[in-house]
Amino acid sequence: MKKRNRILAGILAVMLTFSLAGCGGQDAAGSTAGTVGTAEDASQVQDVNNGTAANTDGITIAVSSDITTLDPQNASGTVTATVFFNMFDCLTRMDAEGNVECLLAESYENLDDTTWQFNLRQGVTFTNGEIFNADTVKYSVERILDENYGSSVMADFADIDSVEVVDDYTVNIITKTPFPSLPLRLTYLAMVPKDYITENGDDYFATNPVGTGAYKLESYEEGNQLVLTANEDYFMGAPEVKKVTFKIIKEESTRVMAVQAGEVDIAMSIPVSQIGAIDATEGYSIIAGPADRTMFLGMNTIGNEALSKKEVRQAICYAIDMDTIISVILGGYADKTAALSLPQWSGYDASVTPYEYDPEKAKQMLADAGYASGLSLEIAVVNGEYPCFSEIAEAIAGQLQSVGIDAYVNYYEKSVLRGAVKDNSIPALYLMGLGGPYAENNQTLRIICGTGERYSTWNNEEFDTLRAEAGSEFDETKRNELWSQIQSLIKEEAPVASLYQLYGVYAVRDNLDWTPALNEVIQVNEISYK
Amino acid sequence: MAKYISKRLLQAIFVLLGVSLVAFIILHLSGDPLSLLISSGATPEQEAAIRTKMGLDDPLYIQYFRFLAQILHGDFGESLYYKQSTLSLIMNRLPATIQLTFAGILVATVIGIPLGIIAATKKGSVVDSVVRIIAICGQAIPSFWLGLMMILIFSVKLKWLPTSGRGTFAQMIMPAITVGLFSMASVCRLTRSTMIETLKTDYIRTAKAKGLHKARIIVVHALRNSLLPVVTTIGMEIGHLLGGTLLTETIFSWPGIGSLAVQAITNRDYPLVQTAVLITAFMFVIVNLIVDLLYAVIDPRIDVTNAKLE
Repeated sequence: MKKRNRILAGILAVMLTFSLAGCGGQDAAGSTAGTVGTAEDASQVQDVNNGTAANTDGITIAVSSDITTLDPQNASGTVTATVFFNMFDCLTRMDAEGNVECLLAESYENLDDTTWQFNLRQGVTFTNGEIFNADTVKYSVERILDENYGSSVMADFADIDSVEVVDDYTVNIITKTPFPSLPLRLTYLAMVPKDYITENGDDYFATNPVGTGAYKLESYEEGNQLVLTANEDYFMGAPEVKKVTFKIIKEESTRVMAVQAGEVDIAMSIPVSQIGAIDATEGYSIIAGPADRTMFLGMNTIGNEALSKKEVRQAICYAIDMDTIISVILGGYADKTAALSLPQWSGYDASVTPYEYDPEKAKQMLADAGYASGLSLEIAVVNGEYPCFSEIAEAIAGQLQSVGIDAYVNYYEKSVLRGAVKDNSIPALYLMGLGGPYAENNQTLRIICGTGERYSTWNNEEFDTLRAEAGSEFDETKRNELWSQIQSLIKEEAPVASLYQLYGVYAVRDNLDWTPALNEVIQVNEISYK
Repeated sequence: MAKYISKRLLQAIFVLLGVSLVAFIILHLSGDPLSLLISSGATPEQEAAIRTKMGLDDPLYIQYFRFLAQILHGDFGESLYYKQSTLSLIMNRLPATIQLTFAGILVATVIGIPLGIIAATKKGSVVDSVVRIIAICGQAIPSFWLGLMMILIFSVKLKWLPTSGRGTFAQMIMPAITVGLFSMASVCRLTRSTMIETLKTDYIRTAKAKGLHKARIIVVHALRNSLLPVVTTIGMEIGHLLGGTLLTETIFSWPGIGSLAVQAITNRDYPLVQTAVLITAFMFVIVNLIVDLLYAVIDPRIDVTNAKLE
């Protein structure tokens, strides 16, 4: 064969090799722990809609965003948190309804306003044999506060001052100021193995995690999927589901089609428009539950002159028809809120009711304030940040237009909108949602309404004083009274239009028994077969 | 030859510098990575402290030179969002993009070249028109629509193929077709037009006059001489695809660098974007170099080493 032909043939062979390399799951790139992950889609495709037979060996969960790290103390984002909560435990945990209960701690009590004593569960080990005890707690807390380590959630634990080991299974956590929220906050502070990390380093731990949790890592292909297998020695009992594969499917259409093709057992974040399609798919149902996020229309009371007037803000609240938005746009999967607070939060006051939809009153109030016409307000929104956000923004714009406000929607990039809210340069209104695994009145209301806070465009001394008092009040009755006052204040002053509580909407195979959790974490050891 | 290659690599360095500078400037024009990185409960003071620690409040030119200095030491920085080395993040996903690119090019050539030959030999006939329509469809159909439609038909309705992900051969079929179809159109049309030109030439008429078998004329004589522009196109398509399989990767959840890079841009994850841009540009440069060298192999009349440097 001529030299040219040989070279061309060689190139063709190289291309073929490149294309076929990595098939059959032989690609080791990204798979750093345990065995190389092999995709089992072939068998699942064959077992479609054959519920019981397909998933007794293990289930597959389609998640909507990337896993950022396997180090639980550096985790941010619901999906990354879901993975870590299945491999690691904390001193306390949140149940599906949002109540805080003990987990690795057996009990705790206040020795005084700033000292909490935790009695630890005995006989718990990490999956590599390392023992969990008071030293583990001290190490874990100090690591998440360590500036050199630089955890992304470090700021949320800044209320903790120090940790004292009393004996092997008793530890004191001391806070800087009285901080009744500590048990809730600790639901996100993972207990990590001191010896293992000290020996191997943070970087190694982030790809080879070892925890006390119900599952351990089998394999991880970055950007593709992560497989966990059951920890048979889990101190709460071996989980019923023996294996779980988290498939990352960011595109929502593909995620829905993966359900319709029978490839996954649970899929998170099902768009409202596809709920009908899932219900129609044999073997699957939609299961939804309230999530720990409060959604609101922020108003720049500092930078926008019209919005600095309370009457204008109240008028906007009267002009919004949330009932229609929830039933038409969100398919009924949302609950109205009155003053940002959520029913599952300690201190929620149900007697503070949402604004009634009253467009005539809105028009009157605007006229009285001198804005009968000519008021132009932008509604800033990040397209797709939350389900139906663009549609909701457009709907609100329409509702404001019908009371005489020239409202229009402007689409922003996420980082740009957040930056503009932070330095109060956001033109007028902005659609936003805040919350998370340890959201509560003290944390979330401070972020949204506190003077100078990063997501606040309001300065109100009364709010700041009341909030600081409520946040450090140990007496439950007094505390609830304060939160009641705060919610009434928020409704009256209307620095934001409190809109709704987000719901998590999931597609679930009919043979699985599972309830969505408030903190949006899928705790696989709580899933059972019907 | 070696001198030529080293000169080209030197030029490549300047290309990479220019690319990284442009990317750096554009990235910093708007948006702020910190807002997406730290917990929403962080106070302004805490945020300021983190910003200083990350060096994000230094003047832009200092940040840029710090970035260059680190690269010279082989340190491509740590991703702000994924909290691991950007180089390892990209290297973990690069095989997936390379695999998809080559599979797509394979689809494009295996379908495009034969179709182009058939259309050229049967120029003006119904077959020719059909092929040209196929080519236009390949270029006109939006890849995301094609991808979603294929999943709907082949995964949901027929249940022949898996919807998404990477690992088995079956999972590669639809992404490869989605990515390859657009390139197929260019390859097909170019093959057709160069073949038509070649078939008119004297030496082909000589071969026919000699009584050589028609298929032998087409494949052995005509095709070989038509290949040059096609090779250029394929080379450019490879470079193009290496950097931009984003839509296909998103639809099929293919864990490549396209979706990683776009996610990084949304997050203003400066180190990750910079590294992704550099690596993509580098690959493009290398592919171009290989294509240029390939000319000399395919057509001995061409002498790239001297011609290029005028």
